[in-house]
Amino acid sequence: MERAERHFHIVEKLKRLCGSGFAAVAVLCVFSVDGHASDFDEANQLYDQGKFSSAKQQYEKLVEAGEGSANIFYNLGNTDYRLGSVGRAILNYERTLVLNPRHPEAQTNLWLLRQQTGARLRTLLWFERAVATQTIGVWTMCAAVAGWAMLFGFAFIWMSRGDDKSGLWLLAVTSTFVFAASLSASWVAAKDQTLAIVTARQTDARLAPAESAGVAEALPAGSRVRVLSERGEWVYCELPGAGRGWISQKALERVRPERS
Amino acid sequence: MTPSSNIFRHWVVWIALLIGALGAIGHAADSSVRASLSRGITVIGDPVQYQIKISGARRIVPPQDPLVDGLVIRYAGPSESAITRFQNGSFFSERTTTLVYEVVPEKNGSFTIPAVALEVDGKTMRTEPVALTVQPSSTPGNNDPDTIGFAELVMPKKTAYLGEAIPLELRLYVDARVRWQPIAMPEITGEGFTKQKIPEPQRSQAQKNGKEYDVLTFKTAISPGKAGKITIGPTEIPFTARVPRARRGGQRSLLDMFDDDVFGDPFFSVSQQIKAKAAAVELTVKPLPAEGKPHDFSGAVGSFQLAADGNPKHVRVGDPVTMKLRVSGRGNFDRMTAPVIKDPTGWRTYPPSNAFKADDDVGISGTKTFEMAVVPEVKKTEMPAFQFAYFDPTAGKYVTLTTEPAALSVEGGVAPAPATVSIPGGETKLSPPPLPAPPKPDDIVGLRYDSDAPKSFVPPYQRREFWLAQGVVGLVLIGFLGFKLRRRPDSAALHMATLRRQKTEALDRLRNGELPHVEFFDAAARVAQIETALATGRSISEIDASVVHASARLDETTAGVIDEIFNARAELLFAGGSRGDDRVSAAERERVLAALKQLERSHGTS
Repeated sequence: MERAERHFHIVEKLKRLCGSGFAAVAVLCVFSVDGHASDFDEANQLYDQGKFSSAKQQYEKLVEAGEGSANIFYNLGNTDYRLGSVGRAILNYERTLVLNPRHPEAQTNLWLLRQQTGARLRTLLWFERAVATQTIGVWTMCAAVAGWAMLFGFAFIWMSRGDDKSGLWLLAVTSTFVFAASLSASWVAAKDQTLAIVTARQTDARLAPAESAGVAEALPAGSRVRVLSERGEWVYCELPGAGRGWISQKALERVRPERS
Repeated sequence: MTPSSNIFRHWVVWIALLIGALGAIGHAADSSVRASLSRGITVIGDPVQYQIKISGARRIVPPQDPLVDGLVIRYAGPSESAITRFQNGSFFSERTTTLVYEVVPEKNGSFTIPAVALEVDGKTMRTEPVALTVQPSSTPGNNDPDTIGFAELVMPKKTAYLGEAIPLELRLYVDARVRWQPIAMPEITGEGFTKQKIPEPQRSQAQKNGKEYDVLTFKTAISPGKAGKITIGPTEIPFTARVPRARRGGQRSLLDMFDDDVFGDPFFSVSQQIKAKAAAVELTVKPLPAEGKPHDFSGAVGSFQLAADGNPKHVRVGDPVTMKLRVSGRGNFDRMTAPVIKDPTGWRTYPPSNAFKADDDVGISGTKTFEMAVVPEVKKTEMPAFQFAYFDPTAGKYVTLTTEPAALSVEGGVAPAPATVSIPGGETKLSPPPLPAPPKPDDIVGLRYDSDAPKSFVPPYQRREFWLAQGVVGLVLIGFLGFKLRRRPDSAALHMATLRRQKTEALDRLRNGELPHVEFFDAAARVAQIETALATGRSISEIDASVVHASARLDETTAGVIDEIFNARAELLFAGGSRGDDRVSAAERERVLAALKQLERSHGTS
C-alpha cells in the first residue's frame, strides 16, 4: 500500500516538473521568436528608410545569431544589391534558394542580376534540375523513411506466417524504389555542398595559384563554381565551362557558410 | 677561211664587247656607313666582332680604334666585296668595305661603343652607337683545354617583374674540329617560372678564348610565377661526338689528338655520348606593385598597343556587332585576357575568342586578336570603347590603353506611330495603338516582411540527432526481429520435449499399482518406444521389440522382459487375452519397471 502511494507521488512530481519545463520552454520560444521578429522588422525599417548599411548589419547580426532564414537571406541580398555589391546579392539569393528552393522573389531577382552581370553557370542536366526542386534535407529524410519502410517490409515478409503477403511485398518493393531514388537525389544534392559564388565584380580563374598565371576562364560576378580544394589564398574550383582553375579566395564565397 | 680562224674572230668580238661594257660601268652614287656587333650579349673573354660596313665608297681612311672602358677593341683589318648590277641600261658597281674589329670584354656590364667618325671619299661620316652586354659566364671550366663542348644559359636581365616574359638562350659550344651532333632537345629545369616551347635550334660559329666553336643556340622565353629569387637550370644538353682513340704511350691531351689528320676516320676515332652542362642562373623577381593597379588588370606585363574595329557598322537593336580587338607588342601574351568594355551600359557582351600571331620564335612578340560579339540593347551612335590594362616593366607602372569608338548606326528600339484607317461612310479613326511589349524588369523585387523559421545549411546526415533517430529505429527493428526469432522454437526440440513429457506421464502411470494388465503393458510398451525414439530419433510407430533390442545392449533378462512387454500388449490388445481386467502384481510391476530402468540406463537418457 505504502509502495503504491509512493509511486503515485513520484508520478505526480514528474508531471508537475514536465509541466513547468514545457511552460518554460514555451515562454523561451515565444521570447526568442518575438526577439527575432523585432530585429527582423527593425532591419526592414532601416532598409525602407534607405539606411542600407545599417540594415545589412542588422540582417547579418541575425544570421550570426543562428536565426538565418530564407527571407532574411533574401532581404540581405536586396540590401547588398542596393549597396552596389551585385556578387554578394547573388550569393545571398543563392543561399535563400538553398533554404527554400521555391522562393519566388529570390528566383526573380537572381535571374535579373545574372542577366545584368552575365554570370557564367554550368548547364544543369535534367536530373540535377529535378533534384534542385527540393532541399537536401527533404531528400535525406525521404531516403531515411523509405529505407526503414523497406527493411521493416522485408522483415515482416520473412517473419509472417500468413499465406497472403502481397501487401507486404508491395510495400517493400515500392519502398526500395523510393529509397534508391531519394538516396541518389541526396548524393546529387550533396555535391552542391561545395558550391561557391564569384562575389568580385570580375575575376579570372587561373591555371596556377598565382596572379601571373595564365587565365583558364573569365568569371563575372555571380558565376557558380564548385570548390575542389584550397591552397593558401587560392581555391581550386570546377569552373562553369567544365574546366578547372584557381580563383583568389577573396573573389568568391561558399553558398553554405562554413559556420552554418 | 679555216674554222680555227672563225673561232678566233668570235673571241675578239666578245672580248671587245666586254671591254666596252666594263668601260660603261658606273659607280653607285650614295655612300652609307653602318656599325654592328656579331652578338649583343657575351661573357668576359669571349670576343665579339665589331664591324663598320661602308658601301659605295672609293676611298676610306680607317678611324682610330674606339676606346671603351672594360672593352679591348683591336682593328683586325678590312674585307672588301663588290656587287655589279644592271639598272636602267647601265651597269653599276657597288663596293662594300668592312672594317673588322675584335672586341674582347674585360669586365661585366652594359657597354656602348660610341659613334665612330671616319673619312669616306673626302667626307666625314659617323656610325650609330652600338650596345653590348657582358654578363658573368654561367659555365665554369670552359677554359679547360680538354673540354670538347660546354653549355651556358644566357639571360639578358637579372631582375624582372612577376609575369614578365624574359628571353632565354641556351648555347652549346662544341670544338669546331669535332664531328658531332645533338641527341635530344634540352629541358630547362627549375621552379617558379613557366617556359615557352623551345623551337628548333640555330647553328652558328664563334670564337671563344682564341678557339673556334660550333654553337647551337636554343631560344625560349620564361615567365616568373612567384616573387623572390628563382633559379633557372642547371641544364644538360646531350650530344654525340667522334673522339679520337687514345694512342699507346701518348701523354697528350684529348684535344691535341684532334689536330691529327686521322680525326674523323672511324678507324682512329670512336663515337662517344657527351653531356654538356649549363650552370643555373638566378633571377630576382619583383612583385607587381599594388599601387595604381587598375581594377581590370588581368596580368599582362610588357609593352603593348591596342586597336579596335567593329563590323557591321549598321545594325538593328539586338543584332550583334563583331569587335576585333588587336593587342600587339612584346610581353606575356599567354597570360593576356581580352580588353574590357569601358561602359557596358546598353551593351550585351559575349565571351571572346582569341588568336595569336607571333613575330618571333618564342612567342613574346606578336599580335593577339580577340573577337567579341557585342549587342546593342538600345540605340547607339558609336561602337563601344574598350580598355586594356597592362604593367610596363620598363617604366615600372601600370598603363591603361583605351580605343577610340568608331561610328555605329543602330536602328529600331522605338515603337511605331499609330496608323490611321478610314471607315467607309464614316469619319477617319485612329486605330488602337499596338500593345507595348511587356516591360523588362530593370529593378529587383522588394523585401519580404514576413519572418519565417530559421533554417540550417547543415544537411541532416551531418547532424547527430538524425543519426540518433536512425539508431533508435534500427534498435526497434533489431528488437522486433529478436522477439520474433525467440518466439519460433525448434520443432524437433518441441517434439522431443513432448516425448519426454509423455514418457514421464507413462512411467507415473506404471508406478501406480491400480492399472489393469492391458493398460499396464500398453503403458510399459509406450515407455520403451518413447525411450528408444528419444535415443534413436526414429518415429514411435516404427519401434517394436526388435528395434528396442537393436538400440541398446541389454542383458538377457531385460531383453526377455522387453519382449514380454511387447508380446503381452499385442496379446491383450489384439488377441483379447483373459487377464484384461486383472491388476498387475507388485512383483511383476517391479520387474517391468526394472527392465525399463535398465533400458533407460543403456540409452543413457535418464
